[in-house]
Amino acid sequence: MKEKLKQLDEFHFWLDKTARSKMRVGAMIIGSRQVIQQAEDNAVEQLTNVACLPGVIEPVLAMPDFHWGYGLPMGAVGAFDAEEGVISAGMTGFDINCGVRLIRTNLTQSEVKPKLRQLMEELFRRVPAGVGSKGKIRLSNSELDGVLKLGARWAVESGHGVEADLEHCEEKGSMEGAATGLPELSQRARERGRPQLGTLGAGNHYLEVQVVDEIFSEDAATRFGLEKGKVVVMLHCGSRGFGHQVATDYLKSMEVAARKYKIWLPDRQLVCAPSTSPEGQAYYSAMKSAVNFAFCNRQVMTHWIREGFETVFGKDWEKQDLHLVYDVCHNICKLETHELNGSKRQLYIHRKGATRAFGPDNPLIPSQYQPVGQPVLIGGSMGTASYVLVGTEKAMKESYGSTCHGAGRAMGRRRATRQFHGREIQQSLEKSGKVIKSHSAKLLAEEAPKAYKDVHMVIEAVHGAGISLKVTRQTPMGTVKG
Amino acid sequence: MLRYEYFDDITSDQMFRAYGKDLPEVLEHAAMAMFGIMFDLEGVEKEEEVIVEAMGTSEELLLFDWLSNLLFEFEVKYVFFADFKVKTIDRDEEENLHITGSASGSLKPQERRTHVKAVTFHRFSLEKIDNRYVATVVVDV
Repeated sequence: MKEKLKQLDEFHFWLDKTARSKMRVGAMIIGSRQVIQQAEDNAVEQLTNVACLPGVIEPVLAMPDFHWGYGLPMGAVGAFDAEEGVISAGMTGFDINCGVRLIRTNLTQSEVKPKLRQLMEELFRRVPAGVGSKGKIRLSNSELDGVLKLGARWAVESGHGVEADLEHCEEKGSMEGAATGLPELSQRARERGRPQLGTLGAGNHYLEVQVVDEIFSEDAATRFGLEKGKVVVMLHCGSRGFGHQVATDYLKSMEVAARKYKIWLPDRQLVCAPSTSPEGQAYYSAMKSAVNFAFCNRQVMTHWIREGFETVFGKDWEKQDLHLVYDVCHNICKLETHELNGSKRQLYIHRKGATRAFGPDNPLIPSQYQPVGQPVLIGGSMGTASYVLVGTEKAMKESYGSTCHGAGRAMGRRRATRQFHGREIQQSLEKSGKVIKSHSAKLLAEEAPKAYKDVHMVIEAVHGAGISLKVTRQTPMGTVKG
Repeated sequence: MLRYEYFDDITSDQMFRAYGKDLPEVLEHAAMAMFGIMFDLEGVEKEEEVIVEAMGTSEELLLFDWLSNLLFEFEVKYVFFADFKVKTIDRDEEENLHITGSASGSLKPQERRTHVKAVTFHRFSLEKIDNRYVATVVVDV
C-alpha cells in the first residue's frame, strides 16, 4: 500500500481513495520521508479500512508516530459526520482517555538532584503502580457515581486538588452526560474500576520527573509557566480496568449492532454503530464515564505527587508552584465542531494515540493560553526527551485540531525483551544520573528506549507540517514505571 | 504438541496462536497464552480457584468472552492465574454456547511483564484446521 502514497510536500503524503476498493475518502499521513520509510505497510492499510466506513470525513489522518495496532493504527484520527456517520468503540480503543498531564515546579535541577533518589522513592511509594495494583481509595457506590459523573471535579471536591486544576484540563476534567450504571454501563465495569482509582497501571504508563532543557518559544513557555532549568512532572495513565471493561462490553454489543445496521467492516475491530442510533449513543455515554474516571485518576495521583514533594522538600506544594500546566487525552471520541469547506460541521472525532491541538483564541482552552494556543504534551520513551508543543490554526484547518501523541513504538514487546535486558537498561540510565523505579525488570526491557521511534523525528515532522509548534523540551531525571 | 506460540507481527500489541485437539483444550491453551504475556506461569502455586463462565453466539465469540471474563476475574480477584479448565460447554435453546470453567493460581504477586488490557477483534479467529482447533488472538497491551 505504501507505494500508492503520493508526496504532496515535505511533510504531507496522500493516499487517494482509489488506492483500494470501497474506500469512500482519501487518507493523509503527516510525516517526513523518514517517517514513511519506517511505517509498516499494515498501518497504512489500516487507514484505508477506516476510510471505508459510512459517514467518514476526508481525510482519515495519520500522525508521524503512527504504527500498526488493532483497528485504527495508533497515532491516527478518524472523523465522522454527526448525523450520517458512525461511533466506534473499537476505533477509540480500550484505554479510554489514556492521557498525559504536566505539573510544573519552581525547583531547579540543582535543587532537586541531591534529593532525587529520595523523591523518586517517595513518589513510587505514594503512587501505586504495576499489574494488578490496587489504589488507596475505597469508593462507596455513591462515590463511584460521583467519579463517573464529575471526573477530576470529584477528586477536587474530595480534597485531591484545587479548582485551578480543573481549568487546566481538556474538557475541564469532566465530560457531561456520562453514564453511571445500567443500561449503558455494566456492573462489571464498575466492579473492575472501583479498586483501581488512583493507580498508574503498567505497560507504557509512567510518572516522570523531568527538567526543561530547551525553550523554543519564549512567549508560549512563559504563558505555560515553564522555564529553562526548572523541574516538571509528567504523568501518563488512563482509565485502567474501568475503560478496558467499557470497551470490551461495547466491542461485543457493537458487533451485533454493525450486523443489525448492515455496516460492512473491513476489519472486525472497527465495530461501530450509527452515530444517532441507541447503540452508538449508549457507547458514547459509557465512554464518557471512562473518560471521567481517567481524569479523576490523574487528578488523585497529582495530589499524591504534591504530597510527595512536600515531604521531600519540606514546603507546601503551592510554595513549590506545583500547578497543573495542562492535561490532554490520547484515546477518545468527541463531538466537536470543525469548519469543512467553509461551513461548520458537527463531527465525532476519534483520536487514537493522537492529541487535541486547538489553536489560539479557542474558547475551549484556558483564557491565559488563548493568545498562544492549547498546550500539547508529548511523552518520549524512557530515557529520551519529552516535549511541550502548542496547537495551531493550521491544525484546525487540516487535522481536526489534532497532532501526534508520543514517540510511537518501533518494535513489539517480545522482540524488545529478546534484545534488551531490563536491569542493564536501568544500570545504564542510572549511570547517567537518572533514577528508575519499577516493579519489573522485564517491563523495563519491553519499554527500552530503542524499542521506540525517535521522538525528535516525530516532533520535527509535526512542527514542520505546522499542526503544532515546539515550545519546550524536557529530559528525564527520574522515572516510575508500572 | 505445541500449546501456543507468540508472534511479533504487530508493533503495539501482542498476537498469539493457541492450539487444541478440541474446543475445551484450545480455550484452555489460549488462556495460558494470554496470562503468559503478563507473568511467567511456571512455578505459580494453584492455591486459589475461581469459577469462570462465558457465553457466545458462536465458538469464536465464546473464546472472546472466555478470555475477556478471565481478565475481569484477574483484576477483580487479584489471583495470578496459571491453570485453566473448561469443565462443560452447553448449548441453550437459542443456540448460544455456555462455558463453565475455572482458573487457578496464586494470590502472591508474580514478577510482572506488561499488562494485557483487553482482547481485540483484530485478526481474531477460531478455525478447525486438520482436525485441530487454532485460535488467533491479538490482545491490547
